[in-house]
Amino acid sequence: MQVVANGIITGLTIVVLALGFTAAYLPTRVFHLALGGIYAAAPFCAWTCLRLGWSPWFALGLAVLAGAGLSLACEAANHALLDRKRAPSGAHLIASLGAYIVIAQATAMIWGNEPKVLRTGVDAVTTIGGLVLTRAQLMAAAVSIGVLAIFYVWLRFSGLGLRFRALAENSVEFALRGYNVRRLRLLAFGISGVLCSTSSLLVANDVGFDAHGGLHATILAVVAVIIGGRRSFYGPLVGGLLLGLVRSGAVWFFSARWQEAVTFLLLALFLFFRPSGLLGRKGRMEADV
Amino acid sequence: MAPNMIALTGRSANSTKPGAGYPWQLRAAGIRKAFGGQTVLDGISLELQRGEVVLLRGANGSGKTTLLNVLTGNLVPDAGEIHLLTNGSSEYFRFPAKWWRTLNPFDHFSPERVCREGLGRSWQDIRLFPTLTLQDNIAVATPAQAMENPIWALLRPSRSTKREKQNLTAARKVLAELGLAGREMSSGDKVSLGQSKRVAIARAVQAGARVLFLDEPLAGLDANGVSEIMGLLRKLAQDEKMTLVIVEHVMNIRRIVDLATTVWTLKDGKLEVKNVGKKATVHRASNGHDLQSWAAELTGMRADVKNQRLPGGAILSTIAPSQDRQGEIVLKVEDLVVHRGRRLVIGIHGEDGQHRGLSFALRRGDLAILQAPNGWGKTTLLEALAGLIRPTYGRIELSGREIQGQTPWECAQAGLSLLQARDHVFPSLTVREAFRLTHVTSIPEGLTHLLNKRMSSLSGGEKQSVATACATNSGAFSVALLDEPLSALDMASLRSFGSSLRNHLKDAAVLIAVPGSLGELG
Amino acid sequence: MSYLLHLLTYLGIYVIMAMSLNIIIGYCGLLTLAHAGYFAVGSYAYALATLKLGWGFLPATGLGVGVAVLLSLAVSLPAWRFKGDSFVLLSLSVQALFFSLFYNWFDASEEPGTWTNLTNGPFGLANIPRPAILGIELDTPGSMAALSLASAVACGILSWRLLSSPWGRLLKAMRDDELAARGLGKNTRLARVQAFAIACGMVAVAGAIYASYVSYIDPNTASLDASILMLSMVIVGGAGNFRGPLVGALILLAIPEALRFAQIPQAAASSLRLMAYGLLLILMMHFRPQGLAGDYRIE
Repeated sequence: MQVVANGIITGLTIVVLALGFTAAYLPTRVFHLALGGIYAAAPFCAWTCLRLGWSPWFALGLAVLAGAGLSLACEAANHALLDRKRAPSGAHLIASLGAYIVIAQATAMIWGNEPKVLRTGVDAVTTIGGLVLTRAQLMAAAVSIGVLAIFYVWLRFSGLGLRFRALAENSVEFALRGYNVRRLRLLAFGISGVLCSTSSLLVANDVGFDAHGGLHATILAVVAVIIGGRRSFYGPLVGGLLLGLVRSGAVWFFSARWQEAVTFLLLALFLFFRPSGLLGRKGRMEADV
Repeated sequence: MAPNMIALTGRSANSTKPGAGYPWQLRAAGIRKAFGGQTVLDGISLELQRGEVVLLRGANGSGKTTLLNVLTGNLVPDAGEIHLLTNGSSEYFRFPAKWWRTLNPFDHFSPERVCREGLGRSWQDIRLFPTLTLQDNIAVATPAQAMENPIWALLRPSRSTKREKQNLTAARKVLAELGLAGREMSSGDKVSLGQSKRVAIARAVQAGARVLFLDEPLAGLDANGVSEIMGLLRKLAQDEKMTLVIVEHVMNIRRIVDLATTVWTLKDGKLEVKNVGKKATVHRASNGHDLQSWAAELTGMRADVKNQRLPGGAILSTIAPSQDRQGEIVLKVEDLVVHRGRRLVIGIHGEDGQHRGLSFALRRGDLAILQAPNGWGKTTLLEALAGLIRPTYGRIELSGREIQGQTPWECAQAGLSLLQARDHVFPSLTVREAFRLTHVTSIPEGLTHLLNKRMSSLSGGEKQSVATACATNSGAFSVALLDEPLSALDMASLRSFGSSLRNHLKDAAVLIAVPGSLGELG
Repeated sequence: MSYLLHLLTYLGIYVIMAMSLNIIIGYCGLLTLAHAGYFAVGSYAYALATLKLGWGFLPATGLGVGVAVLLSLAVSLPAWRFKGDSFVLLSLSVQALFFSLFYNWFDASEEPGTWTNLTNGPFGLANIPRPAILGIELDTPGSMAALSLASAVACGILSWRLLSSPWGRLLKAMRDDELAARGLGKNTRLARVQAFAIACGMVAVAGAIYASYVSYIDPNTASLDASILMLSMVIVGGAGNFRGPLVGALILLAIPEALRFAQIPQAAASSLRLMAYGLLLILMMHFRPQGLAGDYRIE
């Protein structure tokens, strides 16, 4: 049971980050690897604010805003310009990888390479029906569920959410119906940044953070997106939870050392046998010919 | 004849006649293919005789290209059998394949396998290798090059170089016979459409094809280009006794029919085979009278038709309301030139090396019908008008305002509404959401029962109706451009389309682009 | 002087890396992140063969090449089906599996180089002997630089021969339009398997030279950062022709040295160097997507 609980909580933080990736990927088709840099930078912002003695909520809010700002900067200074030149998707991917390196290394230069923690002292532990959970874990679960609920409700029921889905489905037709695609792309990158930094802060609060873990976390999120199905906003939800459970199971049955091997074996298996993911539909094959 | 004759440098060199003694080179039986539950080919059986020239025809979306893809190994059929005797050796494929046959990765039904049996093809979009020179485009096709193995290339450099020199000489000879001497080193994306089509056919021949499948070889060509391709095809069929299967669009069929010995007609997934000798049925392109009665029937208007011939074989027919109710100009296109990549699509090369652009104007209340053969570039024209691609130069005015170079949404906000021919729905949105998104207030009667369905679950005709409603029932527009809006519509939706069209023509101009002639619509 | 020889040794290694990756990126049109894995395979095979079996440079390098060629199937077989983003992810998972293997084939109770502790895990393999060819020990910086440059020249001749042969033309045709190439009867899958085998074997040579030069390797040889470094060389220099990777290797070697001369403190220098790589990647995609001297634009 403890394994499942830990897996679900890890999974929820992966889901939030994976949803951040999807929120940029589906509407813009940009492989937003720069999220790795944002993931690394956000907790440092919060850490500095806390060191300045500001209130925790203000510090966290500012860190989330900083994440959104960085993500918007990636779109405005990088992907929007490439998009106007009709750059192929590979160019976006490499440019985004470059942006990741720049952000992550800037973070390392400003704050150093050492791991840090957000909270001080030993975390309080709660026991619920035989499950031992730390307060940071509970907070991660609660905030993740809250953020996910807000996002999905917004996506499903609001007018802007409808437009967001329409852009993700068919950006050309969306533009032809008179909607400003550029403005909505900014929204996509903004949401992406917010979700990414939220996930990053939750994990940092639980296990600490350093300047170099961002790409790894982002790649895990991408694995979750592929497993769940990259054509749907609900793919990350399914994939992230599954990945969290599998990773926590791997620790339980083998050892923490094999977590990565198991993760990427899972990715390879999905790519081979179900490349469209758990929620994916088979498209018309003729597109290949 | 033109100097564009071609010598076979492929397998005709050896004197044995492949397949001699057998009446047929290719035989297929019971071929079925469905995409996502929609059956495209429904039990097709056919036979190809040696030296036969087949014209394969059918309406848009009838599965001509699918059949071609199946016969050339690009698509694996769901059921049926294919038997090849082209190169003298017998190859037999049955679908679905036996499980033990799927184990051997070298025994699959694949394009390379089928090609080695002597079946070649050309593509609708040509597909020369853009970064290779023309000479290399031909030379790469030569079959069984030992030096294509890296080990040979390393260990026997002198021998490889010698063989390679012969290969390149042969390639240059082929190009010279195509009238492309001196262009050997230009890259595949820099020659004209007609030239690249001829290079692509020569490339397939070089690869050793004895049966050649040609996907719309005449599409998009001017009269000159057509006669050059026809000369090449005649040479291949009559002098080289090659077997040809030509997919061609209605507009160009009459040019091919005197070459063809057999006509295959594809309809509702079935194939009808006719020998030309007995009964040649050739559709003529429609004339103004047909168009007028069709438009009158569709919109209930009686009016005059003005035909404007556009370069490249397209006709723009404008049906204006009677003289006293003529509106002001809403769309004015002047000297429009559009390139795709390096290729000139809209506009023509003038004598003096300058491009001459396309010009026309639409008035409020006009119904314009653009009939253009496949490959003419009508989709490109509409996309340029709607801001999806940037014209090279020229001027587009919408209600007196310049809109060229603006973004698609700015064009849409300025009052221009484009309905694309395909990919015009949001698959996972429900119909209600789509209407909400596009501000459709008056929902057409026939669509109310669909409101809660997802668009991906609709039939082709329903999708088309919903997309049309999204494009034309939302707020004010002064010009609507509809790309092939009638395909996939049944009679009832056609009638409702006509009545809504009549409505729109009160305060806007509508341009409908249709492929070829209107004859095939009915 | 020894500083210059040090640079020349690294130049040889970088040039081999860039040239081999160019075969995959520039001639197969696929972005791979697994290349550092094959580099490390070469390093580990060389280290183990010299340390445990007492082999000389040539057979040990040959072993590394052989293993890398065999393992190249792990990326070349999936490339039958995967293109674009999917292939990048697949190569990433191959890279992660390599890293994981080097990191975890470890048992503290055993000697390094035995079956249960093949790679000595995070602690890596130390004291790798300097190369000996035909009984001649290459233990001076000069001889090491000569070995490295000679190998680079040999690899250069090899790749020049191959890529200007009809085989190279076939690869280009396949990269441009695989379906059209298959329609001409070309076995593109076999050609791609061959290309990956050659590229991975070549980078294993670089790995062996690296291991013999620094005489210590650990799993970080196979890290994602190393793959990104190689990728940057090919992107910055340019892919799809012979000179692009050479230019890329030179530039990526020059950047850290320039920073060294600029007297930037050690800690900041490493970050600055990586930032410069990242910035170069972005600038290239914006202003010169075919690289400084390349022919091929990433799809």
